[in-house]
Amino acid sequence: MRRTIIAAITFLGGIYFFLEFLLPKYIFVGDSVIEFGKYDNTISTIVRVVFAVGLGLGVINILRVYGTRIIKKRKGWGYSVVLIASMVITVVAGLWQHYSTSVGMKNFFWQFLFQGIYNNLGSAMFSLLAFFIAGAAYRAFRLQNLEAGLMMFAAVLVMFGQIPIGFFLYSEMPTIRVWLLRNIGSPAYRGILFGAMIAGLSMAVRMWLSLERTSFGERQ
Amino acid sequence: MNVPPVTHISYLMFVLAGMLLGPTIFFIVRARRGKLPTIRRIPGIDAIDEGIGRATELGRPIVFTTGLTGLSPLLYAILGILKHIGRLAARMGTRIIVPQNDYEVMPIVEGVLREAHRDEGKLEQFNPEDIRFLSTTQFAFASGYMGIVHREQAATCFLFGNFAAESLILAEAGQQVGAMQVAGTINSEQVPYFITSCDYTLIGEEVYAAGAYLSQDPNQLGGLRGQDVAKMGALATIVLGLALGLGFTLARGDSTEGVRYNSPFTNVLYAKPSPRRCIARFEAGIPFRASVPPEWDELNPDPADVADDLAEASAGAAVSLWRLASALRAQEEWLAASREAITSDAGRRAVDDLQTYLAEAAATAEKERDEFERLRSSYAGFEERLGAVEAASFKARWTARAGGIAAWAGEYGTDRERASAAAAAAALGALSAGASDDQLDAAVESVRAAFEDACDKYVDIMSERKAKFDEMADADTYPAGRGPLRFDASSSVDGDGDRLVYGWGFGDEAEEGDPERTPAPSASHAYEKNGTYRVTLLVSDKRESETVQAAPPPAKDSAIWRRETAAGTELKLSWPMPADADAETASVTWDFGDGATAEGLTASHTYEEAGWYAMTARATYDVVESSEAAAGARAGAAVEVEDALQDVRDDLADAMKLIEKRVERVQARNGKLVGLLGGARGMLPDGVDGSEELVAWLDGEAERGGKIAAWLDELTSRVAKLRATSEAFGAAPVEDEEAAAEGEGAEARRTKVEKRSKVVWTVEEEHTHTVTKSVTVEDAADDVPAPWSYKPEKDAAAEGGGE
Repeated sequence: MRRTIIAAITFLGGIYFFLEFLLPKYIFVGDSVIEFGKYDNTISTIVRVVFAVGLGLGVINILRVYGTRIIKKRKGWGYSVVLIASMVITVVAGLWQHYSTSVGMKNFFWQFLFQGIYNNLGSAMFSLLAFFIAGAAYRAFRLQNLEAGLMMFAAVLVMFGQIPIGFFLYSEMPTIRVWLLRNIGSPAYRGILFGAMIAGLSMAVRMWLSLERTSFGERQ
Repeated sequence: MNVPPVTHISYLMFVLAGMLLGPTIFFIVRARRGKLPTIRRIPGIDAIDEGIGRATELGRPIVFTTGLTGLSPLLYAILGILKHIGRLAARMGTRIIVPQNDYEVMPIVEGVLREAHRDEGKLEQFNPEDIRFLSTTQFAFASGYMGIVHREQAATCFLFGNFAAESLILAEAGQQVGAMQVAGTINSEQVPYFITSCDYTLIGEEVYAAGAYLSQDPNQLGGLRGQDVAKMGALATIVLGLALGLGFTLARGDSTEGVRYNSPFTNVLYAKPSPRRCIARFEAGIPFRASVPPEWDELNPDPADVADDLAEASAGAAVSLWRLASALRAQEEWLAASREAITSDAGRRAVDDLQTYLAEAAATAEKERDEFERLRSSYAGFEERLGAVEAASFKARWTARAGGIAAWAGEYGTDRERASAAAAAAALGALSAGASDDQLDAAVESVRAAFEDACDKYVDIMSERKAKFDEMADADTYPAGRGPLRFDASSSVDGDGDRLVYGWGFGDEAEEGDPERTPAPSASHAYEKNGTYRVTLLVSDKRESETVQAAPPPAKDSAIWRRETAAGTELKLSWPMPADADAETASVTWDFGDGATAEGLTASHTYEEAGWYAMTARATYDVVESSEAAAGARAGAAVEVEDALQDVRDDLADAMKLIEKRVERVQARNGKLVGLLGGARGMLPDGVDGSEELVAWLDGEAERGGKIAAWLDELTSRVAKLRATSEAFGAAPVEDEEAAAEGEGAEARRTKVEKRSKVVWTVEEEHTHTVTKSVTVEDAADDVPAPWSYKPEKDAAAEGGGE
């Protein structure tokens, strides 16, 4: 029963969006007009409500998972305290920003959290990427087999095409780089994307028709 | 605006939908009927099982992440993989940790893993705490993921889903702890990172295939086969389209640049069903079909296309108009329905309700307005006070001038001047009433205008000095022998109102030289011979001499007068002695203010130059009081005096009561006024134009208030003293008989008196005006009527006749 209801709702929702995309906004039949896009807002609202419930579930989940860790004093429970405290502080800061009438302090907490802490930590993580790229490049450029050799050759050409010294060594280097990216790299990317998108479409059809039951628990 | 009536529906869409979805559905159905397709081995997918085995052997957990994947078809493909891994892990008793980035995905993942454990009968092994939400932000998520991988020393890491810049951070984390890593993503930009850092990488659609491969679910396998066929079909279409397009292009000799747009197939695929046809079909009830390709000629890319486009556009416009008309019709219907609804009983009631509500709202608004008015008036009270202070200041400034104006107007003014004085007075009234700024300005302006007007007039009047013959024409002829002619100059004018003297020259031998001056404004003269005579009138404000009595009134010891005279006029001064004064003892000294002095009861002086002179006269003399008269009067009046005294005492008592009351009231009022002035002084802002003046006035008023208070205090004490005296007087009345007896036989009493008189002389220059006229005296016939200006004086005629 539960599965039938979910399948029915999924199918109806799918067909609505399918037709909404395909059919004209207004369809004239005799003197009357069928306005297909009329229900867009209603349905968007329903979707938003469902997402909001998902957000609520997420918060409950966090409290349950990390709260249990704190209560049972599991290993590393201090981090869980930090996590929950951060969540509460952020919520309070957000509410403060929304409801405060104080001119000077209205945005203070929020900006402190966002610009003072969050952005800097994010930037710190992002900067790690530079070192990781260097490490990964080192591993990638070990000539272990033919594929790695081809990859390294192409990479060297692209790198030299990018940097000034490449142009200094051979003036056509940037052209080679562009040719490689445009005529070798891009078609490969497009091929990957093409396959993935068709696969996604096929997956979407299976989901729409409720043939994909991974998440509904098909027992064996 | 012409909204395209068809948005996405096109032949291309039908072709694509059929081509891509058709095979999928077909092969799913086929697989469900038992015809499962075979799938080639994919090393990455095989490595999944290997990774789980490795983790089990090492006794360390598996970490699985869906990256930044949200709710999407990709997630469901990944969930197939996750379910497989979950079941194997449950079977092997290996822990699986799933860090989460999306709060919507989290419960789904949890459900899948729970079911995987349940499927293996190992539900007790399932630990929901291992599905951990980290952050929705990519780098925060990456940071948390790194921490988990490092802390838990993951043996195997599975990274499936959407990834962005954090992909390498995640993959390097596993690399650092020496985990076996299998990744799969459809984000082609991240594929190289995974290839360099992970042991196996599934690229693009392999991620979708993995679920089917691992689960061997007929739906997924059928879908997989269907998507492959669709892909091949799409590729074939691309190749075919390219070949055909190129062929046609080459055949037509066009440039290869325009292949796509010159291909007739492109036109077929991209052509949208005509709106007209759509409408016609809908109206006819014919459902849409993807077939019925248009005629070849119509589609041929030639100028006719332009016409087609135009036709389509006009059709679109027609549809828009049609829609507008429909909307208008709907609007009209709605209006009609509304009208019906309003005119129905329920509608009327609704309207009544609405009106009632509006009336109530109006009443409420009225109340609020009143309340506001009340507040405003209480505020206006403050302003009014300030305004009163200002107005008073104005009034103080202008009162003196307006007094002058009124005086001049009264003295010299015509009706117009009097009216202007009245206007000034009205303006002053407005000023003192604390009018608004505008009114104040207008009032001040009016006063100023009246003042200037009056000044002008005053100047005119003051400067008007002329000699004038009354009621005589310039050249008149008079009959001879009718007695002396009388000339009248009483309408001569001196602007400042000095008394005038007149000098006459009659133009015959009788008068020669400077005429004698006389205060009489008229003169008579008899001409002895016929002829024409030149009559001269001289008018002057300089008199030969002036007799002035200078003394203060009897009750006063000194007095000040202001007098005017002309330079050269001899002043004949005298000190009038009162009747009871002893003239022999009198001594009067005169100081004329120009350096000259004189002594004696009379003095004469002439001021030679115009100017201001302060003349002082001091007189001392004895006043003799007859003793009999005094005693008699005292005796006779004794009884009367006693009665009168009693009356006076009574009156005095009443008056004192009245005065005390009044003093009390005035004191209170004065105190309030002083407080008010202080308040106003406090309210005045600094540095405002004209505030100094106002401040000075306020301070002056406050000082005056203080003086008044002091004076009132003094008055109170005086009244108290008076009462005490009066009571004492009442208790011990004067013995009149004794007093009378004492008075008898007393000698005449002499009292020395000193009095002083001061006269401020304004000495003006002599103002002289002369006018002449011709008079002709001749014989005339008897029947000539006497001219109206001819005024024979009988007495004068008699005298003249005597000559």
